[in-house]
Amino acid sequence: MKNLISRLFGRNKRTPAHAMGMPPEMLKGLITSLEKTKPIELDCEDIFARLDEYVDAVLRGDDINTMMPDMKHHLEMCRDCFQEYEILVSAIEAAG
Amino acid sequence: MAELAITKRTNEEWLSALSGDEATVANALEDLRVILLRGLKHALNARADLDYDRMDALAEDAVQDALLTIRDKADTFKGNSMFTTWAHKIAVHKALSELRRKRWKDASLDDMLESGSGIGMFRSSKPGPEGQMVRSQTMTVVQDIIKNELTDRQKQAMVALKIQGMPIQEVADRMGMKRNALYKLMHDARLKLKKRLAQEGLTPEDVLRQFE
Repeated sequence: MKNLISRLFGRNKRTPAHAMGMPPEMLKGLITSLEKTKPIELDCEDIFARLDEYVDAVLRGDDINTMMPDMKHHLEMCRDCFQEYEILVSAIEAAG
Repeated sequence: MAELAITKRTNEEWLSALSGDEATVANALEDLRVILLRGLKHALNARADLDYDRMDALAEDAVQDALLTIRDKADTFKGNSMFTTWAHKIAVHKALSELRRKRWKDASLDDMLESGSGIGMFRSSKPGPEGQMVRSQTMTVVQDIIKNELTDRQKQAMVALKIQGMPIQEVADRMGMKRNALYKLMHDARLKLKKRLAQEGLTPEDVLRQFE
């Protein structure tokens, strides 16, 4: 904390986010993902293994927040798994 | 129409058909091909973000490939979903893997890292004009934490995944890792950054307020 105060109120030159190397949007995305980070998370293979079960539950209207919160969490964190999930839902609905 | 002739099957009937005699297996696979292809073509073509001019052909190949896997792995189906959902899952995965591979086949991780938006973004913060608000100092702290705490591989992966938008499997292949190991690498990075921010008395919510 002392370190932070010294940096915040010390004699360091002040720097706007946009003058830094990392684009603000990326920084914002990263920090947002930190907000959602859990000590233990399912990985992509865990998700693939149960994606069919998860999607059927979603399509039935089950309460996945309660039933499979860790699956839902990974899908919020992982762009590629989420794309796979969305396309799977769409394919099932289109196939009838 | 061939589609009208598809037999509705329960999970047990699908599994039984796929372990039946040659004609029964062929009949079931043909029905499954029609079902999977109808779904996959529609789902892929409906996505504006999957820009590919030979989508139908790709879907046909993916379904064909999926059918081989489904026939060989039918005994691993756990029965926790509809059999057709499990089959669609395999077809979608094959199609997306192929689309991602084609889309990124010429992309080199080294080139990305050397580009303007590459690893250089983790350089030290440049001094900005005087008179900026104090909140910018928080961002300097955050930027320094990111620069100092992440390993080179974590930075590499972050550039490829977050800046270049490369799919995790493609990045993993280029880094000689399994997809799972790369997810773990990035999870470790997030945990470390979160912990270091906390040590500085900052929560992610505090930092996000700087963007408002």
